[in-house]
Amino acid sequence: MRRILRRTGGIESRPREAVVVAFASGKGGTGKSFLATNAAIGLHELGRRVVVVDCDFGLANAHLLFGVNPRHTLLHLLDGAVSAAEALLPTPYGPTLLAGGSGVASLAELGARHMQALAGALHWLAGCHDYVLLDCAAGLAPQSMITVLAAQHVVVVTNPEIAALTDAYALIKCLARQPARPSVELVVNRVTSAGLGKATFDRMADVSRRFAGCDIHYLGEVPEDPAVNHRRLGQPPLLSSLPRCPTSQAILSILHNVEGRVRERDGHGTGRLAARPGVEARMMAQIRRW
Amino acid sequence: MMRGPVLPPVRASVWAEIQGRLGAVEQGLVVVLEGVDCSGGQFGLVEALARDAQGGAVLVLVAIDGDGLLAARAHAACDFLARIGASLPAAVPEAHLVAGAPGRVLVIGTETGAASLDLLRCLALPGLEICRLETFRIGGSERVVARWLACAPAAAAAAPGALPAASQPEFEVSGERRRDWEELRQMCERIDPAVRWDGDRFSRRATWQGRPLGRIEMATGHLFGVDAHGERHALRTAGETRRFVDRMLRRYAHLAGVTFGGAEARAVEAPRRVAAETLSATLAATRLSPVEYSALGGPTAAGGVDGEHGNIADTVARIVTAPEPAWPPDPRPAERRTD
Repeated sequence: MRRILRRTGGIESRPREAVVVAFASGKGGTGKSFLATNAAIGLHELGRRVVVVDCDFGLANAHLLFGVNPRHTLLHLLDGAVSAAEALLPTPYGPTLLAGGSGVASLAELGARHMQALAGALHWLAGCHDYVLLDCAAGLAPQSMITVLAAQHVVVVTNPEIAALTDAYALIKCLARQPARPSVELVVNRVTSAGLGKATFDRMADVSRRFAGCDIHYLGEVPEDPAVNHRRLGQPPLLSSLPRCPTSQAILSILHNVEGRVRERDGHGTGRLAARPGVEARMMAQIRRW
Repeated sequence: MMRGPVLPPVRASVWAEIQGRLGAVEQGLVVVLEGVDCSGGQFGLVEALARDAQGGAVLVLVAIDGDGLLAARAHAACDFLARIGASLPAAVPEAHLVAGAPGRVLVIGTETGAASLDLLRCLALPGLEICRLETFRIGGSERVVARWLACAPAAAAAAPGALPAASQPEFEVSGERRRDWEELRQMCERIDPAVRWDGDRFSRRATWQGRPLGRIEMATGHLFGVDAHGERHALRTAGETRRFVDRMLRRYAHLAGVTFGGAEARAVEAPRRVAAETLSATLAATRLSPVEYSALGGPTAAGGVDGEHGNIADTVARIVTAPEPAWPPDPRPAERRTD
């Protein structure tokens, strides 16, 4: 009976807590939100229950990419005005969204109390989804790092140019110094020629191993696509509107690799659930170290 | 027991063997492209273009005995690097070479290339480094060590029956700069007596175990120092000379593995320390050192190897230059270091 349930995707095969994946980068504008929203749609099409949490507290834009207008945002949640269930917003493309707010002037306004509220919300979300995708803020502010370190998998999104690379490396170096290090994976976005992403990864992996003592994993590259750059407000996300274009195919390939890494590291889908601290415990540990 | 014929080793098979052991030759040496024609097809292909840890181009040749074209190929490779080495980062973008990082030619041999390596040692081509991989068995497993041979042409010449080493022209330093040059050389000898000098009439290159520490040039009546990152510094005062020796010392400390304050050592130490660090402390410690920045593909930092290497290098500097007082600040603000 257990085997049948597992094969048919029944309750038995479902992990107790969702896989938490953070999309992060040192530099802004590398394509974190674009990848997070499209990855969410791709995972939803694979039959996963996905929620996107826009953790860019000050400059949230995931709701724009999903084409929804949120009534409640993460800021209402952090202030205790609404619960996580009330702040959750369905999108027309399948995944649900916990939209970020645009009213915080600086991350310094967010204290430990707010981060604890976020930890509680993520715990609740992780209990009723298969994947929680965190669209993190750029930079290395402690608040951003706490959200990044809430994840088991950190997808570092970078571009093949020196400013983005050095900032991404700074993030990797920071992650490498944490006591409970998440799996660090790299996506190279806006690649102008095939293979440039892998070459960029090779260099980054070499430097990370030598200087930061951190092994990183390659998820894939996303080609530079004018169709992405020229998309207007209100247009559906790329994976919904142009699922066969090279960029969409690259994103699907990355998702395949993400799922592979999840299976490899966490044993999800294999019946081997590791007894690791949950997302709330991970966040609280970081808040205590803050 | 039937045994097959023992065939002489061919370059390809020796290269395949060496390629898997490049890490033993030099940490961070990575093959980026194989088969480089440096001689217009005359003397055959150089085995590979590699990138070292500093992002410099390294032409790698394999030595086997009986290879009559090895010396010609090595000479052509040195000439090739001298001609267009500076343009390689732009011409071979996929190699991710760092502009300004000095290039070099590295000849690697095993036991099967000992005679060829000895011949190359005696030729003493500038910019050529020679390394011999020696294997031995310990505890039932095979280990390999790299032995650098390039820096002992005098020893080769002194050995009975050895070929004479290539004569080295005298370094032509003008009278008033002679004292600076002698002082610089003495300070380098205090770093390590194994530091060797070679070069032509107008330049001298300092190497330690075949690895470059820096270069001194004489031009327009002035001494100039070119550090391991290819950056040029005028050596007009005693302070500038000492500062340049400090750069060479930092490079030496890095090569000799005296980098317990360096980035790589920190990576090893990091897991032991992090548990006690706060999140803010770990964030503050993520500042990139010039070496990391350069390894990522950024231009060579103006300050040379500074930052994380600073503490140990400064300590070693105090030991080596013990009789000297603390360096005075540069009196000329316009030329003060900005790093």
